[in-house]
Amino acid sequence: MAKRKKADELDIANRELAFQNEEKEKRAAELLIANKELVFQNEEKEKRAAELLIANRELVFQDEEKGKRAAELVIANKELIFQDEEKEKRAAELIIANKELLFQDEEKEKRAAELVIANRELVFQDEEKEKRAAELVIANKELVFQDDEKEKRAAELLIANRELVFQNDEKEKRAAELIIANRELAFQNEEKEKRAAELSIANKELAYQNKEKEKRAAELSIANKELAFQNDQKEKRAEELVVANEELAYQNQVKEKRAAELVIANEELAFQNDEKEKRAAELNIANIELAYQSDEKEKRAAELGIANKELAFQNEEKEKRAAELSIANKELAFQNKEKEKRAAELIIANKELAFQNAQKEKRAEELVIANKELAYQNEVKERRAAELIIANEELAFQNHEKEKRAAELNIANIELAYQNDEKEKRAAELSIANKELAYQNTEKEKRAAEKEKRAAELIIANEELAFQNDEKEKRAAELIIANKELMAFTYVSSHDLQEPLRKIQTFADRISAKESQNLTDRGKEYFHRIQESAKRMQTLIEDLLAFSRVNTAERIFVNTDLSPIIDEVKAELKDTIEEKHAVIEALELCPANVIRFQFRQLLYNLIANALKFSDPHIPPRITITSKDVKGSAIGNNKLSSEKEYCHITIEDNGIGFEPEFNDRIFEVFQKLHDKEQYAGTGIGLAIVKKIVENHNGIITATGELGKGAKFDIYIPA
Amino acid sequence: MISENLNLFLADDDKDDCLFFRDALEELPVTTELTTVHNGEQLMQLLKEKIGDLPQVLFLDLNMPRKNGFECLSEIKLDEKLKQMPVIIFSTSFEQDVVNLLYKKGGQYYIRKPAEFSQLKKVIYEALLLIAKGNNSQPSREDFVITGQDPIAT
Repeated sequence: MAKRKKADELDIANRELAFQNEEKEKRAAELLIANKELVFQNEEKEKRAAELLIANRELVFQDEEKGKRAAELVIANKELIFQDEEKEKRAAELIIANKELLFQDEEKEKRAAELVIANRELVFQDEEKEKRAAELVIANKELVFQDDEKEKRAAELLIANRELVFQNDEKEKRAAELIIANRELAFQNEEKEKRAAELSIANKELAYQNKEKEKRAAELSIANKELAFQNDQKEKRAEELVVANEELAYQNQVKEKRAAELVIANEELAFQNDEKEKRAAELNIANIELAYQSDEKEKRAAELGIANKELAFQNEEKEKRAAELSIANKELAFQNKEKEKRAAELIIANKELAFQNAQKEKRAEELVIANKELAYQNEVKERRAAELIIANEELAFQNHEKEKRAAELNIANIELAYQNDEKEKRAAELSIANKELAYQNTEKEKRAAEKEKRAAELIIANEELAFQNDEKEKRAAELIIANKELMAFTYVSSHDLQEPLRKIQTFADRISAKESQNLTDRGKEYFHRIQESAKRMQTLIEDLLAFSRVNTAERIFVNTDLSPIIDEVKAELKDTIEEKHAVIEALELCPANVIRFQFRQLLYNLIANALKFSDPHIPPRITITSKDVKGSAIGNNKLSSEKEYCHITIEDNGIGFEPEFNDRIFEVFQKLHDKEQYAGTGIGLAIVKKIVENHNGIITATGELGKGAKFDIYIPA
Repeated sequence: MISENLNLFLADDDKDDCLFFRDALEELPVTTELTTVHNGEQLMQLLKEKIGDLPQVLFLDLNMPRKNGFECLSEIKLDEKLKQMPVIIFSTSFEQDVVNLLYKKGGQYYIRKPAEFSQLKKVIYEALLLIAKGNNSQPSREDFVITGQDPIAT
């Protein structure tokens, strides 16, 4: 703005000068005209003087009186002549003056033209400067805006990252919960399927039992009907038997009567026999008397005896039969009672069976309903499970997308960081450019007094820029502090996370040790899993602590031999080395200028990695070398070509990795294998990289799948 | 075997850790009398009351409210009447710098609270065996940290 004002002022001054020039030109023209007029008047006066001379001469003669006057006039003329001379002189002077003026005008025009050019130049320079200043302002604004944007973006990315991390956590939790829920559902489904299968079997069994029971019931029904029929028959038979009995009883009675009559008849007969015997005797006597009569009578007696014996036998038979009939009657009565009892029992059994059938039908119906319900629940659960599977897949997909996004964001962050670096470089360049401008300004100040103000303004602008640069430096310093604070925060939080974690581990340990008899195998398995997870978290926290420690710990460089450090690491990894029959060769080592404990950690991480990712079919061979090389021989633009570097290589014959992961493997939490396959937190190589950076060096990794990995470290010698 | 009855102090604000400590003592072949306090102020007050009847050893947690373990250790080691009492640091953290500092301040031993209960028993037993030997001069720096790996304790 100041520049514009200045330009305006200059413009006005130019216009004024132009105006003054015009005025002067006008004035010169006027003066020219006035001169010409004067010349003309002089000429006229000369003519007049000549006329007056003539008139005087005439008058000298005409007027003596007028002689005095003439003398006076002469004097006056002389005076006039003098005046004329004076005027001529004046005119000549004026001509000279005019010429001078003309010259001056020309000069002024030249000057004005020069000034115009100078002004144009100035204007141009002003414009350039304004443009430059505007560009700078815009560039600054852009920088500020970009910085803001980057801060915003960085903040957003941070928030986005946190959110992503949180969402990932949540999703992992959710996924874990879903997995658990799925497992539970799967388990419940299994249980339900089992249950359903059992119920199906039970139903089949029940159905079978029902069928059997129905058959049985049908049979029983038939049996009942048969029984009922038999009962009816038996009742009929019983009734018939009762009737038969009654008849028999009646017959018996009749027979008894008959028997009694026969007895009476027999007694009578006996009496008659007695009488007859008496009579026979009498008749005998009479027979003796009557011989003929006797024979006849004896025959008759023998016949009667036989008839009597026959009657007696018939009586005996009838008595026996009556006794038998009585027993048969009793038996029949008993059988009838038994049958009645049995019939009653069968009726009760039938009722019971009918009731059981009804119950079973109800149960079967309930089971059918329960089955349907179960089938429905199973369907719902299957649907739910299918939905969950889809949801899981979606989550997995989203996780994947987020991981990609996170990776992209990471890359974007790196890019932003790179752009920031570039901008800082640009700002530094601008700062240099500003300084240069300041220098040019001072140069210009010397050359042009008018430019001083301008230069002063530029100085102010520069100061402003310098101030802005200062502000940016302050800001950078603040960011460094903020970074340190973040590091401290990471350290403290990791540190404080250890305590509750240790509690979880100890309590889980206590339960598995003390309460395991109260746990099912599954419960024991779950406790084992808790302990495994807690252990993993402990490793993670310890690694994070190590990572933050690498950033915060004191850095004391010592020039030391690497062999003892490698030996320490080998001693620490002794068990794994022996187990895997690994060979670690340390060849032609040169001393290096290192932070000892950090370098020990670096070698530990790299050697442990090489052992971990070894090919299971061949014994691991790890080769470590180091030698001093000139920076120019390395050909990496991050390294100074004049300096000496210590080049350390660690090479293995393990499983290696795809070449596209050469850089990725150094990023925090980057892992190429799942944790079931190769345990680890993905922090180890990030620590390695950090340590190399702490040594102002670089590390590169080259890998080929199945052929091993090679790490090249360059640190200043 | 430790035949004598040991009088122990444990200063730890964490009730769970106090419980673990007591449980561990119960399962070890020692007879002890354990007094627990839950902050540094309480500890210093109790120690001053018990002058003349000080415990054989004090197990001291670092991160405690009101007065932390560092302050307590410094105070104990500056007090003529208390400085003979061996102090075993008993902490979750394990920072080399911190461990070095505590060794310099006159700590007798350093125990990192282990996650496994069996390991906890081992380290406590090893500490008690070392204390029962009665040699209370500070060990060398290498022997400062009790790992539970010592063959006599296992």
